[in-house]
Amino acid sequence: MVEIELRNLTKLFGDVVAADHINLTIEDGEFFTLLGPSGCGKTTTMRMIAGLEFPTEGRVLFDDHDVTGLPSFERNTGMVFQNYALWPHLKVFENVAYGLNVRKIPKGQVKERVLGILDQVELEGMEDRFPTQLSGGQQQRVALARVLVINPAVLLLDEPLSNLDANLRVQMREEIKALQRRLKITTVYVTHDQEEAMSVSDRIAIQNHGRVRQIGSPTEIYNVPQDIFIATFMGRGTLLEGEVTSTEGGVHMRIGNITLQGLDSTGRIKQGDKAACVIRPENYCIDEPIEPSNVLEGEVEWASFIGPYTEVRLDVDRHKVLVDVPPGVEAPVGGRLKVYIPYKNTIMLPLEE
Amino acid sequence: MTGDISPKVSALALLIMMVTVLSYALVKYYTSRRSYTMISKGGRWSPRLRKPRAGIQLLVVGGLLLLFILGAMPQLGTFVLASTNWANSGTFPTKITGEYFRALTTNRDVVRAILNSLGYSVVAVAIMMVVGSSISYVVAKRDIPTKSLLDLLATVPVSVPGVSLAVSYFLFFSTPFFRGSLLDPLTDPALLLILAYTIRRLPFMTRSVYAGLQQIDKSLEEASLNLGATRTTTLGKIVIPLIVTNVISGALLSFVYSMAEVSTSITLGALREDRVPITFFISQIVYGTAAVGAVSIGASLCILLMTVQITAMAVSNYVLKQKTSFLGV
Repeated sequence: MVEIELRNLTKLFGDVVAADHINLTIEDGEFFTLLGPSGCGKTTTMRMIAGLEFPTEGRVLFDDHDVTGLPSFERNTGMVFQNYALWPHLKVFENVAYGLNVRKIPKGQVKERVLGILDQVELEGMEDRFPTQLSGGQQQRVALARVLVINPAVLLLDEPLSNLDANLRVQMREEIKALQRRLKITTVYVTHDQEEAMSVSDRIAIQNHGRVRQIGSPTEIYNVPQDIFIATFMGRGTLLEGEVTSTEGGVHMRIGNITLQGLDSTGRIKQGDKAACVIRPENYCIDEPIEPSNVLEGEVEWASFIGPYTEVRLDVDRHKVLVDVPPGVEAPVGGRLKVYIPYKNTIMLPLEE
Repeated sequence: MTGDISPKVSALALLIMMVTVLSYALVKYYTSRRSYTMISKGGRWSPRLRKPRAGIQLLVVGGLLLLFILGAMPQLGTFVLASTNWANSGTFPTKITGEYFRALTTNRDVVRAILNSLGYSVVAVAIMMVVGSSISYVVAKRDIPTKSLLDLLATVPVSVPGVSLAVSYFLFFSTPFFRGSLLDPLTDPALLLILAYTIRRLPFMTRSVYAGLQQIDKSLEEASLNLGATRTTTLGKIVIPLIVTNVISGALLSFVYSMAEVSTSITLGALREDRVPITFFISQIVYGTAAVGAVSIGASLCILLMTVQITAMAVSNYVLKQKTSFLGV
């Protein structure tokens, strides 16, 4: 297992900047996720770790050892591709044994290890099938087994669940996480799915336009986003733009006739600035809480029963606010609703983009 | 083979080449705008089948049968010619005989022509397999600046008329520089015939292999590299097995067309009696200059060539389990 360090990692494809001066350290045994929208450079970053792409600038270090120029086959990383990349002319056994065979492992040992790993990923008895004879979930397991069997120093997973249906995706992500915990293998995971990233990762790096915008634990990223892109990319919420009237005892912001008070975790907001306020719909209280809170009152414009809650859109002084109303609370369309949002859950962010 | 070449011939050859190169460039431009890779390459093709009503079936089968009979007329005629004796006058053959087919193995000149064509074609196909596959690999999988030029050079021979190629080769290799060497057509045209076959049929190989390579997603190669295999191992264990059917298809097609190659064969093949290929031999019979003199032997040679083609089709259809034939013969 290794610690991975990316120093100033940059990749240009012609004029397109796929990765822009990326600096980060992935700790030994950590489950680290590169998260961002399509085309943000997360896969390119992973491919540079795998040695399938070489940086225009910067370095890749495994345990302080510079591997920037090493070809993929000398890095001992195991990558699971988005499309699994199973070889259609080889049976499951041959697919999984491939990495061992190229390492010239004795035949008996190969058989033992391949059958062992197939057992671990619950594919025993499938070794004589061709990949085309397997379901999506099974193919995904073969792809995983194929890299795990070589005991790679780093496990790289490039959107491995994106081709699976919703239920299987949840099941597989739990299995991958459990497997990673058991094997304590340094893992880099690439996804554009926020929920998936938050559910499996020890830490997440949010990437956009090639740059890493924030690195932190899932709770940090979700609760204390460092900019508007992250705040809106991670989960649902309402974004209100206004002017900062004061920064004493928190940020005070005026949005039309509404005044809100909240926290600035970035430390970059000054009085008189234009700023944005981000409120998560699940953070509202219907009853007045003990902690100091903002109050919003408006007309229920639209309500949708989701199951665990009712999603409500309030019109507060012509501003649309999304609120999750708990079961048992009546919020008929056209009626009025008063909600409270604690200052600590009112995220204030500078409006710089 | 001596004397000046008419400028009209050269101009005509150039015109044909220009039209072909332009069409090629257009097709290339069109196909390069989209990707044809399939991760499922190697998987089985299982189309949804619908059975038409009996009347429609009868109509389709009847139509096809009629088309087949009309299309097969020349072949049937050749077969009748090769397997029967004809009286000097009259419409119908007088006697069925196997002597002209037997001549394929007993007549010294005929056997030599067959062996010559076989030898040239086998060597040419072997060269094509190595050179053509390599070119296709570079064009399909490597991002080098000259790959388009390489692709063009490998494809353009299809547009060069065989006679132009043969005459150019003759004029070039009969210069004093090559005099007496193995490339000198006046010493021995065999090597030049092989070269001509290779160059003329190379596009069949490169196109076929290129089509296969185009369908291999790059992640299939990358997965191999990532698991510790070198580029050479990846080529041997992943890429080649995935395109082997395309290589065989291209090889069979090139072989069939090399065996039946006419224009360079009748031009360069004329230079040494013991080096004549089948098609030159047939042309000698047709023009009545062959020593054997029997038109029926020419017909039996044609049947042999057809058999080679049909065998190639059968191999492509059944051994390679391809549902559709790739041969345009």
